[in-house]
Amino acid sequence: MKSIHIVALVVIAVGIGALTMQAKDVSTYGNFSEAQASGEKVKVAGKLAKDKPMIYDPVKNANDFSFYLEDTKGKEVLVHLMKPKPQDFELSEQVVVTGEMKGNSFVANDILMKCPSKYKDEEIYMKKNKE
Amino acid sequence: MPDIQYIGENLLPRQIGHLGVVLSFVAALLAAISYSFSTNQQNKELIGVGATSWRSLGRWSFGVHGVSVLTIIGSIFYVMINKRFEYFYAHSHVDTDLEFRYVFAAFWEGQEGSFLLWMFWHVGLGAFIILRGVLGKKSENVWESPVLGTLAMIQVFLSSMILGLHFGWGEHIIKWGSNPILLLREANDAPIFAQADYVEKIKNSAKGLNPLLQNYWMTIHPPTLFLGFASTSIPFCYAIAGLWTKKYTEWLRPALPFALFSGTILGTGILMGGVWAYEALSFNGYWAWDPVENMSLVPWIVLVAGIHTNLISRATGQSLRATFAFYIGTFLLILYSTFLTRSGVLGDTSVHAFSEIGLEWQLVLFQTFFMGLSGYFFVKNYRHIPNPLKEEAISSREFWMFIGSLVLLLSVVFISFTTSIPVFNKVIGYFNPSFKKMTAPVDVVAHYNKTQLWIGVFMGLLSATAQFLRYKEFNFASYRVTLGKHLGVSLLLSLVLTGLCMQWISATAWQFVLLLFAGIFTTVSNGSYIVSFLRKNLSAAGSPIAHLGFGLLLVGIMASGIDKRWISSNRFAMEGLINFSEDQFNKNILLMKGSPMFMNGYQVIYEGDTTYGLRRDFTLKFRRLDTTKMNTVRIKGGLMPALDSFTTHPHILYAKNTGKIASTNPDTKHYWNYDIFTHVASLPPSEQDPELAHAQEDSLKYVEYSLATDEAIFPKITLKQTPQYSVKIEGLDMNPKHPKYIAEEKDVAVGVKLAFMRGKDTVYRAEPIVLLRGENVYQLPVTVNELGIRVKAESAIFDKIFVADKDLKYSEYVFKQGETKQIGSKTVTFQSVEPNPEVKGFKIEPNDLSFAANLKVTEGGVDYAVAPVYVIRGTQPIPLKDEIPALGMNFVISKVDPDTREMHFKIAESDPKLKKTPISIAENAERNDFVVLEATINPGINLVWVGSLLMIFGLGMAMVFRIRKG
Repeated sequence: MKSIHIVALVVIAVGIGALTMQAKDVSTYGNFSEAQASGEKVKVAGKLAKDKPMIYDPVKNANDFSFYLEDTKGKEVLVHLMKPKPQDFELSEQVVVTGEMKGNSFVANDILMKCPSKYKDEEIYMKKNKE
Repeated sequence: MPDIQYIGENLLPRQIGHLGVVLSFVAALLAAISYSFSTNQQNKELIGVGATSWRSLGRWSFGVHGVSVLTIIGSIFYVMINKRFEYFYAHSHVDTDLEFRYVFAAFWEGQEGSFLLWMFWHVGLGAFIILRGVLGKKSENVWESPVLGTLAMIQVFLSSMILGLHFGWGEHIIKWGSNPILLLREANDAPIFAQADYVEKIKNSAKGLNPLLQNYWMTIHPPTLFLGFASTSIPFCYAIAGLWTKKYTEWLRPALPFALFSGTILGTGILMGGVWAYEALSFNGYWAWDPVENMSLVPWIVLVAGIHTNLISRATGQSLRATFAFYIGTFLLILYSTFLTRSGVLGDTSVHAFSEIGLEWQLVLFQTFFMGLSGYFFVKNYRHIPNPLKEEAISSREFWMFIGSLVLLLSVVFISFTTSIPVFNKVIGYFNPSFKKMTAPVDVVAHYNKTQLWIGVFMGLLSATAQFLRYKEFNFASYRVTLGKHLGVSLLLSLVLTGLCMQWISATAWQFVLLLFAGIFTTVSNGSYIVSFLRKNLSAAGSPIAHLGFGLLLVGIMASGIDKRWISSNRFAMEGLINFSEDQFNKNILLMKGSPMFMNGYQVIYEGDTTYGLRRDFTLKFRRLDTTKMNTVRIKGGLMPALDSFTTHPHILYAKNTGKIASTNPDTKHYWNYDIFTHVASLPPSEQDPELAHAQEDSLKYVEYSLATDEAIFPKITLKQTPQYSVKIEGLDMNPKHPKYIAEEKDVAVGVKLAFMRGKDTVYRAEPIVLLRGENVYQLPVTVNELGIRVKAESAIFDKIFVADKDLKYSEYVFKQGETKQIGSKTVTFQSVEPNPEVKGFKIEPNDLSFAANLKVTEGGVDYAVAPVYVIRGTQPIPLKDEIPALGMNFVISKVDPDTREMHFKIAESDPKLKKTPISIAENAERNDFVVLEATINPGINLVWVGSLLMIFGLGMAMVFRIRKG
């Protein structure tokens, strides 16, 4: 066996080790009850409660945008996003927030929104193929 | 609807384009087949008649393919530039207002256009190789057939992406490609297409180019990146050619310059993306570990690994199998990256992904085909690929270069693993639908940094030392001392520099210190290598320059990453609200217009803003304060002595159709050692969205008051927070200005100049407007933020300005041309007669005689012009009144005396001061005079740019060196 093979094997072994470490970071979407129980930072996916108030009052606090989110288990929780209100927020349907529970509300420092495509024209449907 | 005769359609580009689409596919297929036969013939009998005749057929087919691709691109450009909205692609990517300079950006915004761009570069690269074969020595042209054969196969798949065929498969309809030159009515089904003149009607529904993409970066970044993508195909084709023709080592020489070219261009493309993100987008960074960014970087890293093993193989014969694997891997990763960004699998995890067009399976097939093809060739030939039995010595250059390539490969595995999570979800979910979907780590940046930091350390240390080693340990015994000396000096110097750098960069964790050292070490040792060994042969310095750049890049990453500081944070604002953890401190701060605000050593003033069409520029003044004197200097008028001051202009773009904010774009102040990034992150609700503004306006309770000019009143105050104030009208303004008012030609706009007094000497001025446009009246209110009130002018103001004739008392005056008369306090001069004047709101018929009398009125040093008109229709005179609203003066021509050349005027005055002006005032108005600011100090960012540029420059130099050397 060449010495380069030995070094290569060492590199690969270190690599596999690091990769398993890395795999542990991978998370799954949680819900508010789990977040409350664990107290850890999690990602929660949910639906925006459009009938509830969405408040961003920069005069009071430029870094607090609050809204209600219903998680996949149907639990609705007040979310404080520590950022200015994102553009087109009210259009979004699915929302993923990253953060942790503080008391009865969820404090998020990051957000991902799934908006229906801005440039999709609702009136035009894909032509159905006649063949 | 074939029976409708449509009006205004131009069908020629469609016919030409369709022909191009079909021809490009068929010709690519023919080229692939011909070149393959040529290669097989060549393998059997060297270059004989069979091989060359197949090869000419291949050349012609590839030529036809190239012309077809250009034709498709030409047809699409034609419909886009001429705004032919009956075409689907034009309707989706341009609109009536789009400027010509953005047509290129709009072209490759769509998937189809970017596929064409990719094909275009392949055609160019293929043509280059063919021309070289045609012009070069015939006996040496062994590579054209297998390389072009493989390239043509790639083109077959790319052409199929724009075929746009639909066919039935049992109950399913299979869509094969998306044709970019379809008519809108062919791509969609909507009731409007039942109308013969639909082309006229759809103009305004064109979607245009996303405002975020309307900048020059979108014009230059995609073509560079796609040339980078396309050029990775060439080393791949050479690797396949090497296996196909069993010339396992000969292909290394011609492939190397192409690989270096690809590394240069792809690197430039990626860097441009980083600069774009940093300069023009609100990301406040050049790299965010976004899936799309990762998947453009990963092939580049593998390509760089391939370049290194290519060099090893050429110099020593070692690492040949790895070179095959790396070049093949680069291309397969480009295909994987294409799949990820275009199939929609990334969905909402990336900001860059294309919108889907339903080609997932086609992309999977593309990837599978080339995995299968290269896998087949590689496995079949694996045992025949030469692999020297003699092992690399530990002190040889090739030993450590190979280890370095392996470490690069590790980096790729780590990055690709996390980036592929959505793919794992798809695959596992396919077999196990109840599987709980995985997602990227909570803190993505920390996650990637954790592994990539060690890659950086290893790469830094390796490129610092391996540069000094020699291939096959050449003459090692006598070289050993020189080597030790150089490395020792570099090491010492680097340690000192690291110590110094730590005064500047606050690297607290030992891992960071190590990475910093690795970066400095490779910078110093490659620098010393250039000075010591390559002084007289700088053209060979590509490699050390690139490695030196890598070292600087590492230092830059550390400086800008660790020491980024928020100017716009205010740690006291959050107290008592919610119990926040430390990483959630405030990154944005509210800034009232005109009030200076202190933040982390800076005083910032929002001075104002200017709107141009859909763009709104803000003026922010920053003053860097001498924090050591903060407590000793008395603040006068809110201004402290500043060490330095500068102004930035971040801007906001509003969307054309909704009027909402479409994007917020930063402005950065550059210094040699740091940047100040400034960004307006948010605005008052009424400035964000017209709907919110309306809702706010509707919620206000206005109370109407009538005031004479210069009369002061005290409006009723019902709320506790509203201070005592009085209001007075200072006059009317017929040329008013308002941030929301864009003047049009036939507008009648009146501004009411108001002065609000609070206490004895505090005056706030406001000028609400009433606008008469056509038959509609608009009110443009103004908020007096200091008083928390909003005020608007009422439309009844027009009754006051345009007084009805029955209420006027006219007196007659007779003027000669040039004569001046004093009427009350006004001086009136009859200046001239203008025949056939243009008259607003009155239609002059062909046989009418008409003229206007131009008069000048002077009052209190101000000149006003007025021009009553006299029309004679047949024998009937029609006098048309004109007026000076500001003075309340009305002029009518009553008689013209042709003998004496005198003109009789009826002039009436109504004192505008006597009548009262109605205004309405509401309390509890929300403030609309602030911005939410994000500002950071980004140190060392120039090291990132300089380092990256040197890496790219070094790669380019190496390419030139290799081409010259042959």
